[in-house]
Amino acid sequence: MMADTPAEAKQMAESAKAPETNESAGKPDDKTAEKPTAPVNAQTKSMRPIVLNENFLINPAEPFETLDTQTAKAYYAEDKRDPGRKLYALICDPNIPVRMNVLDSIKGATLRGMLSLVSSGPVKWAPQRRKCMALIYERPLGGPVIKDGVKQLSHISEYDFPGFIFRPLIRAISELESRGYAHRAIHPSNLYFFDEAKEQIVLGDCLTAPPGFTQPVLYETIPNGMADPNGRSEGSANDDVYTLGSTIVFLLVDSHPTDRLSDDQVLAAKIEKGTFSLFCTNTRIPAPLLEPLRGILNDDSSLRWGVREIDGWLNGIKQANPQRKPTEKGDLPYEFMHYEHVSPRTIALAFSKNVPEAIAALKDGELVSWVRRILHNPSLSEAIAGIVDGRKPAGDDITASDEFIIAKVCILLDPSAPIRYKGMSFMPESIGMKYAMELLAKNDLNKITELVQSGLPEFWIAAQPGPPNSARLKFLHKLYNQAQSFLGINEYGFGIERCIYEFNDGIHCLSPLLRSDYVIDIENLLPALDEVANRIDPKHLPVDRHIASFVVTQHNQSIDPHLKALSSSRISTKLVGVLSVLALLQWRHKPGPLYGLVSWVGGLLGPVINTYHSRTTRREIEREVPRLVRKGNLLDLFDLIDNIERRQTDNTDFHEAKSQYNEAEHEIKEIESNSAARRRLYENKGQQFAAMSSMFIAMMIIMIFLVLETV
Amino acid sequence: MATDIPETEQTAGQSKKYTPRMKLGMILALLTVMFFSTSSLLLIFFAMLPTFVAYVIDRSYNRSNTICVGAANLCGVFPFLLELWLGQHSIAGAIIILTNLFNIAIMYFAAAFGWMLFIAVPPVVVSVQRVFDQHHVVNLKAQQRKLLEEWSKAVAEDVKDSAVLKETLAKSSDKKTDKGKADPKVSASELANTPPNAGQPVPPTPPPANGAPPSPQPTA
Repeated sequence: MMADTPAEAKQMAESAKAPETNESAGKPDDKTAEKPTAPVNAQTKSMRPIVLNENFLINPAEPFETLDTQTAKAYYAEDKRDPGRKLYALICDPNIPVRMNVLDSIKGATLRGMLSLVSSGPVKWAPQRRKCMALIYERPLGGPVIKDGVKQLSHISEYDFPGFIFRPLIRAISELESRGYAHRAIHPSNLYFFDEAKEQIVLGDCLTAPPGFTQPVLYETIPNGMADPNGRSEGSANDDVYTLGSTIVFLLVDSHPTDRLSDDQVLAAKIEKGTFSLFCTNTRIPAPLLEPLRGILNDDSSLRWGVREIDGWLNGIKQANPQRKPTEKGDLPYEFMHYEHVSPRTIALAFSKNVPEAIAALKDGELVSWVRRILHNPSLSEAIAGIVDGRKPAGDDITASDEFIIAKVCILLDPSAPIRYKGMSFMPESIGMKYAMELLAKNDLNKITELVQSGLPEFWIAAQPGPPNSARLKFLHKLYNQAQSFLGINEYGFGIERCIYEFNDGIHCLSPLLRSDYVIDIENLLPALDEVANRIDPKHLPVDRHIASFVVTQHNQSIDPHLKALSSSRISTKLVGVLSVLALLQWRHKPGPLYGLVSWVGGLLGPVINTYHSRTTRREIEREVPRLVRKGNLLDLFDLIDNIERRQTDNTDFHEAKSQYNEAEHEIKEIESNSAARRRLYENKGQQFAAMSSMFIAMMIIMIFLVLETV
Repeated sequence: MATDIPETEQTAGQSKKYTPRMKLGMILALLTVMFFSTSSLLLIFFAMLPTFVAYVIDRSYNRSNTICVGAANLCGVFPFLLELWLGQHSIAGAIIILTNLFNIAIMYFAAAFGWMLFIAVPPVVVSVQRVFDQHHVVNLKAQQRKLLEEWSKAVAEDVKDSAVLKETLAKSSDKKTDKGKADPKVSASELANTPPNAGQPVPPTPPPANGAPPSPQPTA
């Protein structure tokens, strides 16, 4: 019953097992997952166990290679309060965001059919010399279901599949659905035997990577399979059910019909034949399983079986299995890139990957005619012709570019497919994750911004069949309105960074300053910056666009005045903004004294101090700063630097001084330049003085004469 | 110390016009004096001739020349008026006084002294005022220097051609070339070199008493 794995799954499993260069380099012990499985080098061996949340010890010297995932390494872990408890830790790749929203929802909970997440949190991971997210799981004692590319299911009959696999896994999907999330990482390599006897199968981790990131195209629904791994949707239980069906088919058959097909060929085959037909025709699937698989692998999500139907089937209740809608196909093929397409969806797939050829094909008008005459879809034909004919002359306008035209045509040909533009392909819901992942991969983000601002997402929304006011479309409309408004403002707290933090719940701060930290909540931001202060060039500002957006998203009050100050082109105002944001966070979250950070900020405040006009005030502040640095209190520093009374006094005194200076200058000029007039004035004064003197003398003499005469 | 300078000098020709009532009063006073003492009027008329001349030719501000000469002239005439009033108080007595050349000389020399006073005093006053002005300018410049020192050159931003500003700027540029320092008074840049975690930590202070969150001032 066990057979070779499909090429993608093999590759995935192998990559998951590839030892990291400096951590482990030996052959794994393949007997059990109970014991650490790989020898480690001397450096790692000498490392001490790392403590997580005071109670859990993670030992970097004891890796579990068999429990590694594609995006996380597994290590031995221990609960100090209960050393007998079997645990292991997954240390996440810091360049791949963790699904924090799901993590918060399932942490500490016991989910049936799924590994229980016992604890989590960032740890200083010595082997990588930075902080990484660590997840502590209950250890699956039976190891993985696929080990070294070989299925470990020889002890299970295919007739036991419903109870052995369907039941526990559908419970896990149901548990997650009740919390509002989907697993999105259901594939054979992520299934484990929870018990040593290998009788209980559970789903593995779904938190260490974005939804669907680790899923091979084979297991994904057609729309998500077309999307880049970092552009797949959060999905729902409906998507999980489909991937579970694909996984079960893979576990059941010896030779999978898609073994030799590339991803694009798998997608084309799924579109043309339908997943169920592709997977289950000419394969040895037990007859009792065909019915549920037909329902589960339905490519139309609205007709697909859900958790309830599978539960009913497991309980022996016959479920209705709606007939699959026939795929829109042409009677005669349309040839493009040496392939005879019968479905517009495969044409869209091929167009998106061959833009120059697609433009040439559109110009010759054959596609429009094929859609009208062969596909019998005149409205689609007119819409495509409208796009081609209404094309503006090429210029700077991106809406006139070949890529944009082809993206629109692809949306019309296959509305449920992801948005495909300039080599990117992502579901519209995943715009935030796309930004984050491309940023972490140091790729060009302008393409995404260009796409959002071009209005292509709105075109995608408008092209969707069904009611335009559905919850999903309303959500997407709001999402892209928000994204456009964020991208339209080139200030701190807005732009691409804001999109990243606003649209990815709980994503860690991606600031280059915090490269070696893993800050997932705002309470830890200031302590992290306090540590950064000890290793960074003090000329850098401690708040950048990422930190500003991270704070805006996580702080539950408006900080608009701070953002305005931060965005100022004047360095002094910007520095006041930096200080005020940090002081606000210290005031709000009370992380204790921050000596390093206060020292760092204090050293940058020269330009702010110089905004005071009075040099005496400046000197007073300069004398005071070192004292406050030693207190580690940003609030005091802020009060010293931007005290409203001091500033008002300084301004008033300055204006007074200015008018004094001007008055003095005016007087000096008057004295120096107006000498003739002044001379006349002084002469007049002299004449008056002479007259007064003469009168005084006369009066004195007259008085003397009068006195003499009287005597 | 700003003093308003009259735009035009008030000269004799432009002197304040006497109102008809004042003129009538003066004529009545003259007639009264003539009625009671014609001799005194005769003496005053001839003895005060220099004053009348001064009045006619006076172009000075507020008729200072007339006042100056008149007061001195009266000073020379008054002893003889007393002699007339207390002695032979008649026209003959007045003529006796007036015909004595020595008496006339005393009266006219007194007027000359007044004129001399009018000529000599104003230049002295001008010189003294000029000295005061020089002192005042020195004080004003010192005040400006002080203001510049306290408030930097921004305080003189409205008077870019200020001599004190130029002088201060020239001095500071000399200092720059001498010491290679932009502004020795501003030592904020030194703070940048303060090592992190410098000094002994002390317990943190409580948040501001008013409990208000920090917010940047628009003045910054």
